[in-house]
Amino acid sequence: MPIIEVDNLRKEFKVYQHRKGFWGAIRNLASSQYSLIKAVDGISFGVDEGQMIGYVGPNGAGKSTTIKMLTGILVPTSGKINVAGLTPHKNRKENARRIGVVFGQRTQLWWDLPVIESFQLLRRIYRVSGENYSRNLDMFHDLLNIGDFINTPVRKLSLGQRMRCDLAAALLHDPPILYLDEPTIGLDVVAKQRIRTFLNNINQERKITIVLTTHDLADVEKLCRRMMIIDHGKIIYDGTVDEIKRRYGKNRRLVVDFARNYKHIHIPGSEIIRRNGHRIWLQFNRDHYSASQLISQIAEKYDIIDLTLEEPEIETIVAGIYEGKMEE
Amino acid sequence: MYYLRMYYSLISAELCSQMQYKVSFILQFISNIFITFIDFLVILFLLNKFSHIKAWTLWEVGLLYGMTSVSFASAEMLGRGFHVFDKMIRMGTFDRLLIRPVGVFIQVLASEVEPRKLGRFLQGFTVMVISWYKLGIGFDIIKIVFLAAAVTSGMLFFGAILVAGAAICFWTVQGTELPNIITYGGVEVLSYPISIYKEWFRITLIFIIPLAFINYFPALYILDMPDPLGLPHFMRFIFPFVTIIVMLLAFRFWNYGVQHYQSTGS
Repeated sequence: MPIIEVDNLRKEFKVYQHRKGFWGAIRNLASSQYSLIKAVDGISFGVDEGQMIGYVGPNGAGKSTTIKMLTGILVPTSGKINVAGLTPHKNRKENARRIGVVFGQRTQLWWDLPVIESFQLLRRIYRVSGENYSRNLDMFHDLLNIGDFINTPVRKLSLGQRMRCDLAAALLHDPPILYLDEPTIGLDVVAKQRIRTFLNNINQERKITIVLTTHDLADVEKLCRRMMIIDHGKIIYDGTVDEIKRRYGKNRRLVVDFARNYKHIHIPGSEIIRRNGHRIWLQFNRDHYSASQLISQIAEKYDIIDLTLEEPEIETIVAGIYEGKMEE
Repeated sequence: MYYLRMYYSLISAELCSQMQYKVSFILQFISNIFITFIDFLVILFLLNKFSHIKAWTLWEVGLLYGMTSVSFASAEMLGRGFHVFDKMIRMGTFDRLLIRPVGVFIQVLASEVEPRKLGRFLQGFTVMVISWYKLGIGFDIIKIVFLAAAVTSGMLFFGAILVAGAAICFWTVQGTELPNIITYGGVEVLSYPISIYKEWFRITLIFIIPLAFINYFPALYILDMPDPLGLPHFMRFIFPFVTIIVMLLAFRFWNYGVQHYQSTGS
């Protein structure tokens, strides 16, 4: 049973020509000159309860616009959204109670106040009971280690610390759904890892449904079974992460270190894409040849020292899909 | 009750944030008092020089001036969230208000407060009290309640203009000067009795942008003065209704704007 259902959702923006100054503003109000931008162009999908889904796409593809419509920030131009029985932009306040939102680029916390005071304010805003509040705080202490800086003003926190606090803030009222817009942007490897572990944990333990947009495909690979790719406002892929590798990542690479310097190397079924001294990079199609076939062919003809098989990286695949070069 | 508590929570957070920068806060407070004091001297000097304007004596004008000052300073102090609302749109912080289970109007109202404007408020209040004393009205409880109602109504009127001005930002993103023309301009214009202005301008102030109901008409009642413009007697009592209409219009416009909010990139 899907907890989020989106049907033929569209969002068009009218971009007006901005004139400066007072009279310019008056003319802006009156003028009807604009260009129409289709940020989200008729998308449909469903997210099941407890699912963690990766929503990716290049800049300006419509990711954030989709999230903003799901959260009730933006009113769609047309189409239907149903989030746990509610239409977010029509029942904005009720919907807000059931969702947690983290915008990686922008904190939800009070910039100049100690973290704990932001939490207390949010507690009042969401009317969290004392019992749930302290239970959740304890959990965040354990899982996110926020105890060390809970009395520090938000503006003095590092980006990683701030993100952990933002996650805690978004989950304070036990929302069944969590939207994350670029939660790992700008973080170092350790901080990213910590956030991923936490997300995995709450998804597994608390069955929170998570929609995650990101530029870092490692996030998706490590966290989500399902991913959706949006480009130019349309969903161009919706399926498992493994499936995308199988479908689009047909070219594998074999890196071979030879014992001697061979002048002419020819291995049927593969193509040399790079050569550096004794080392060559071969590319081959996984449907036509298996790695073992290729290796035994090479070993028959040449003296080899070492072999490495490289799987296509999700980064490369998705970049290829964005550029429209990827073939099935 | 819920809204009051919400407002209280949010506004105390805002005040605490401001107190984080104690030195800046105190310096600005002092400079604000200093600036308004100079403002006050200028008015005193002008009024002393001209002792009366048309049929209006110095202290009658003082009452008009005090009433608008107090109304406007209160509106500016409490309605600052709307006054600087374009910043919220441009920085994208309005998004975070929309993901909370509280009405956005109250959140914007509680997002900013400007205690520094207290200086201006006190200055206007002082002029009002001195004028009241000099006019020999005395401790007339009905007139005092009437004055309080008029000043509150004036505050809400100016507040409504700030709200309407903020709503324009949903389309223009950048702030416009339009609300400032009405508020700052209005305060200047209302510092003198509107009967001194040309007819077309008076008509504008009474029927189109009815600023005259902020101080002129209520003051006529307090001063027991026949209207120099010869308008009917009931005009001096209808200010609450005028303010309610202006507020309703501003509020409708604001809600319409929220529906058209386009947010900013990413």
